[in-house]
Amino acid sequence: MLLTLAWRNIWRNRSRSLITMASVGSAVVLATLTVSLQKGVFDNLIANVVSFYTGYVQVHRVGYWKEQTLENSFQLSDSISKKVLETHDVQYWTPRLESFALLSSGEKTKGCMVAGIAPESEDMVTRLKSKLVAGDYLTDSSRQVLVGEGLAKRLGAGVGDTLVLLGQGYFGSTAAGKFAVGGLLHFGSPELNERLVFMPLARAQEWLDAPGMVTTMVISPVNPSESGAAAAGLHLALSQNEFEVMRWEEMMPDIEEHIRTDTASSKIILGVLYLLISFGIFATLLMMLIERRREFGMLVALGMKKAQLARVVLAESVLLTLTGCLAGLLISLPIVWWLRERPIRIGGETAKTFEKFGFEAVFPAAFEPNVFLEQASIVLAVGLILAIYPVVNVLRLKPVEAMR
Amino acid sequence: MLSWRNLWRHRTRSLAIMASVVLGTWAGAFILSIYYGMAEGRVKIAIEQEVSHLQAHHPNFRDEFEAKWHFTQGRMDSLLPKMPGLKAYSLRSQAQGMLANASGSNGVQINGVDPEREDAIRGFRKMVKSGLYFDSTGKRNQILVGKKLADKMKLVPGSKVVLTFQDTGQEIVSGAFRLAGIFESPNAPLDEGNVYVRRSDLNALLGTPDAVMEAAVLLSREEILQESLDWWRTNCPDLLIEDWRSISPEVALVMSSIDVSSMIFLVIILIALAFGIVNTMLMAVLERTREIGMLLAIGMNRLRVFWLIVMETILLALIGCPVGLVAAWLTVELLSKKGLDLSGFAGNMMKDFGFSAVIYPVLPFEKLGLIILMTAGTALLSSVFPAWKALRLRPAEAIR
Repeated sequence: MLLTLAWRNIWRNRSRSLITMASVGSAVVLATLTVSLQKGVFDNLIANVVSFYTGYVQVHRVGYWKEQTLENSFQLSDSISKKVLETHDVQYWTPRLESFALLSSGEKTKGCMVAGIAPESEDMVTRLKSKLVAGDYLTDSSRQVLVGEGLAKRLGAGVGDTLVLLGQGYFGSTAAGKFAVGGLLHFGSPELNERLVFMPLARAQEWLDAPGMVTTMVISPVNPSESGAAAAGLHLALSQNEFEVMRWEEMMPDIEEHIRTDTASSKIILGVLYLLISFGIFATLLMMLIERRREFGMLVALGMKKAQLARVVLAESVLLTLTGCLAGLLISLPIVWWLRERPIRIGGETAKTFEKFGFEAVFPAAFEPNVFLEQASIVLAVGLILAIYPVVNVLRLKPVEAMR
Repeated sequence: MLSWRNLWRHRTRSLAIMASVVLGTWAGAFILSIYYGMAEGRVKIAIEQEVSHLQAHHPNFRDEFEAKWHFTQGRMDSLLPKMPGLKAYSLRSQAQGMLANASGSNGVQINGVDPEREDAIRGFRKMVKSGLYFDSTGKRNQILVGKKLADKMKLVPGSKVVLTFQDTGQEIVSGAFRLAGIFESPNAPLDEGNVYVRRSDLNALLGTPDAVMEAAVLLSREEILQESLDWWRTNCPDLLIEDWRSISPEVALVMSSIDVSSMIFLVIILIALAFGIVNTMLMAVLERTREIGMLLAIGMNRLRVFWLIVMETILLALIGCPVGLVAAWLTVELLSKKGLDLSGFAGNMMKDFGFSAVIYPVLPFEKLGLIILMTAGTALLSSVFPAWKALRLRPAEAIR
C-alpha cells in the first residue's frame, strides 16, 4: 500500500522524479570518474616506474636484497622456473644475473651495474627493446653489451667501441672482460641511465665465472593490480628458507610513499566533491518539498496521518535514490571504460617535461569494479541520509499554513 | 528587473542555487589553492634549502664530474658581490666518490663547503639534527652525513669514515674523516647521496687549493631572477649558468603533474556544479509551470521568458561567485596560518619526495579570474537548458 502510493507518486510527476534521479545519478558518475582518474594516474605512474627496471615482483635467494653480492645468487633449475610459471597470476618471468663492476673506456672509469639478461623474455617484462636509441638489441649469443646513454656519454664511448669490465666473480675471483658496445639505451631516470649495462645471461655467467647462476627472477603478473596476489602465490610455491619474494612497494619505497601522499591530497578533493554532490541532491529535495507543500498540506488536512505521509515520502526518496544510483552506475561504466581506452593526453611544455623522465603524458582512467561499487554505495548512503530531511519536514508540516 | 523580483519571491530556491554557486566557486578556488600550496611549498624548499636560485658550473662538469673542470674562488669572490639582487652565495668544490667504514661502502657526492656561507644560503645549520654543524674548534677533516645514510651505515657523531675519490690528476686519493653531525633535509633522497666537508679539506685532497666546481646564488626575490641570470652570463660567458628550473628537473616534473591533476579535478568540480544548478533550475521551472504558462498566455514574448530565467541565474551567479571567493579566501587564510597537516593521512612520508608534510594553501590570484569565468560560464550554460525547457511549455496545458 505504502510502496504503491510512493510508486504512483513517482510516476505522477515524471519530470520531477527524473531530475531527482539525475542528481543522484550524476553524483555517482562524477564520484566514480574522479576516483577512477586518480587511481589511473597512480597505476600509470607505477607501470612506468616499474617498467624502468625493477618489474612488479622479484624473486631472489633469501638475503640478496640486503646484501647484493654473487654469493647470494642461486642455481636456476627447471623445477624452479616450472614452479614460478605454474603459480597463479604469474604471466611470465625473466632471469637476471646482476653485479656491480667498474667499466673503463680508455682513461675513464665509472662504476656501473651489469645485468646479464635473457634478451627475449627481458623485453616482454620491461620492454627493454623500446629503450634502444642506437645500435642493435641483444640476442642470446651476442658478444656485445648494451650501455645506458648517460653512462656511455660519461665514458665518451659510442656503438662499436670496446669497453673493459672489471668486477668480482663468483667466490671472489677477479672477473675481467672486453666487450664491444652493441647499442645504447635511454632510460628516463638519470640514475639508471648513468649506471646500467646489459649483456646476454650466458655471457655474464661466463664473465663472472658463475655457470647456471642467477641473482634475480623478475616476474610479470597477469594483471598489474594483482601483483600482490602473484607475490603471495610465489611465496607459497617456493621454499621460504631458500627464496625471498619482493613486491615493487618494498623495492621502491619512495614511489609508494609519493603515491600515498598524493592519495592524501586527493582525499581532500574527494571530500570537496562529496560536499558539492550532497548539496546538489539536497537542493533538488528542497525544491521538491517547496513544490509539494500544498499537496502535503491537503493530504494531512484530509486526515492522512503525518507519520503515514512521512513513510510514503521516505519510500519515494529511497526508491529514487536507488534507481538513481543504479542509473549512475550504468552510465559511468562506459564513460570510465572510454577514458581508459582513450586516455586524456596532455601536450605542450608539460608533455616535454614528462618525456624527459621517460613518462608519456597520458592519464588513463582505471577500470576497477571496486571503485564503482564503493562510490555508488557512498552516494547511496549520502542520498539516504539526505532523505531524512523531507521526512522531518513532513512531520513538522502545519497543514493550514502549507495550503495557503 | 522582473528576474530580480522573482529572485526575492522565491527566496528558498534562490538561496539554494546561490548556495550551489557559492559552494562551486569555493570548491574550485580551494582545490586550486591546495595544489598551488603544494607546488609552491615544493619550489620554496627547492630554492631555499636545495639548489638556490642560480648555479654556475664549468660546462663539462655536470656531465663528467671531474675535478679538472673547475673555476677559481677569487674570480667569484670579486664578481658575485656586485650581482644585482644578490642575497647570499656559496662556493662549493665537489667530487664523486665512495664513503666507506667497517659496515660497507656507499657511492656519494662529496660537497666541500664554507660552513657559514652554506648556512646563509640554505639554512643548513638548522638541518643538523644530532651532533654539531662542524666543530667550531676548526679541527680538520670533519664530515656531515644525511640521516638515511647514517642509519644505513650505522654512523653516529664521532664515527670515523674514509672518503675515496679521484683528484685533479685522475689519481685515486683517500682521506679519513670524523663525523661531526647528522643532517636531515626536506628531501630524503638527496640526503642519502650527499655528504658535506669543509671546502679547504676537500681542496687539499684534490690538490687544487682555490678550486670551485659549483657556485650557488640566492636572490632577494624571485622577480629579479632573469635579470641576474643574464648579468651573470654576460660576466662569465665561459661558464654554464642555470636557474633552479633547469638544475632540478624533478621539481619541474612535480609542478607539471600538479598542474595537470588540478585542471582535471577542477573540470570535474565544475561539472558537479553544473549538474547542481541544472537540476535546481529545472525543478524551479517545473514548479513554475503554472506561472510561466500564465505569462505566456497573457502574451509575454517567449524570448523574454527565456531571458527572464537566464537572467535569474546570472544574477544568482553574480552574487554567489564573490561570496564563494571570499569564503575560499577566508578558508585559505585560516589554513595558511596553521597549515594543512597531511601527515595524518600520509604518515609523515611527504618529505621523502621533497615535500613538507604540511601544505600551506595559496590562493593563486592570477587564476581567480579563470575560476570566476568558469563558474559564471557554467552557471550561465546550465541555465540555458531549463530556460529552453520553459520555452517549450504550452500555455494552455501549463495553466491547467
